Amino acid sequence: MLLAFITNRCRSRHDAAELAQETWLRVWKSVSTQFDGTDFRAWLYRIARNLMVDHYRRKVPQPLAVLPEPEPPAEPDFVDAPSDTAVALAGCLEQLSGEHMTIVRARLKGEGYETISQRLGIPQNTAMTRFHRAKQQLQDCVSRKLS
Amino acid sequence: MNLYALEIPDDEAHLADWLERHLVGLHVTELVRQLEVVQGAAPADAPRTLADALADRLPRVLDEGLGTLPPAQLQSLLRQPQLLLELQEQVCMGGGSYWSGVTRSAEHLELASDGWRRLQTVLQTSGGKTDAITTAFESAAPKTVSPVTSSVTISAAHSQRRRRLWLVGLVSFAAAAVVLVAVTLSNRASHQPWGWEKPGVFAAQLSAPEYLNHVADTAQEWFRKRPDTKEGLLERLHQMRRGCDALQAAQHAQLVAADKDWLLERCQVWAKKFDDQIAALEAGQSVTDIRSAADETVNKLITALRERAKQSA
Repeated sequence: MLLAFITNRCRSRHDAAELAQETWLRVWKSVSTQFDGTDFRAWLYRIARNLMVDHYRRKVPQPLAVLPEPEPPAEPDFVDAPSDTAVALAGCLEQLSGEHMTIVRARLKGEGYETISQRLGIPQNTAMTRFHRAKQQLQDCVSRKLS
Repeated sequence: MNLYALEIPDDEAHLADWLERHLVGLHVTELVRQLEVVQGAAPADAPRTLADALADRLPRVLDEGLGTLPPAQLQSLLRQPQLLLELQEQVCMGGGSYWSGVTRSAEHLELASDGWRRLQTVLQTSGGKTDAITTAFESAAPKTVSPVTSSVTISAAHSQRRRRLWLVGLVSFAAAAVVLVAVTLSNRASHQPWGWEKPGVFAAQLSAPEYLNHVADTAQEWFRKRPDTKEGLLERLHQMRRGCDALQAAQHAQLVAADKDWLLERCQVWAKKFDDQIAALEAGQSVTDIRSAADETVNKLITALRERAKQSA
């Protein structure tokens, strides 16, 4: 879970691997002096979080002009910009027909085919087929945009 | 490029499992981004926090997983995807042993394995005592063949209380990133991948019926070796079990959604059988009996795959 926690909050897989290793090293070095014997997991994740904060703060470029520096954020945005895939997906969604878009949105909100088919007045199999067609269309479109 | 959001299972009954795999996995952030792109801005009455969305059910989710939620609350996590990140954090900090049993992808296991190898090297070169760590994890490894951990015993090689607490914390925490690495290291001497573990086995460009038969043919490789020792059979079962993980993680683009969902659901059942056989072997049941049981499981899964191939033709 630590690896999942760090990977999902880092900008790169390489950063995540380094930070995970650094976390365990920090734990190993300081467990005898800094762990109070209570909630190990909370302590572990605090170390991981603090390391991530320090890591990304160090990457913020220093201002060149001699001006009052703005207050640094309490915690940098580990994952801020949308991914290339998400950006491509946003563009490709615009190419879907209205009904396909409705079905895709409903499915990704967890609605079942029965509910969707009743709402749209179409057979359930039709709703399923249309979702899978839309899915294929989106996959092809995103793949083209990213290649 | 993976459109994780579009891999949402057709069958609502599988939604909880699918979300759980993401919560313990490496790509939940990407899933959240994609869900947000599709759904746009959240409605004004959408829950803002996990506490709002799950109310008093959060403790039970942390103990027993998302299957404890009614459909409406499960859907609320999809409607406010950012809540999934908050939930992942809660699971990391306070999730029970249930979450150790959620399948990790082959990619995740590989990353964890690499990380552990590097960590061991660093500890050894810096003069750290890794023998106790290795002992603890290797004693835990045979019992933790998959993400499902049973009771784990630790050999307390260190006398220092804090070091022992660290080992207890690590192992009882059952972090897949650590415990599974130990399993991987202790079991994966330098074996050549076979069966479903072989690279590219799930990337074959085939029609759906051909693909299902291909998966069945690959499983048939189980019968190429007939181990007659406990260690040999354990290793073989571990490898087969890892093949199940690889199957779970694969895209199966060759299949329509219904067949893919069927395959993933069946794979979980087969994986559980292999886990039970491994546990039974470790508990002392005879090698012959367990190998026969495993043979039966493999034969059944091959038959099921071939039957499904006929239906999808």
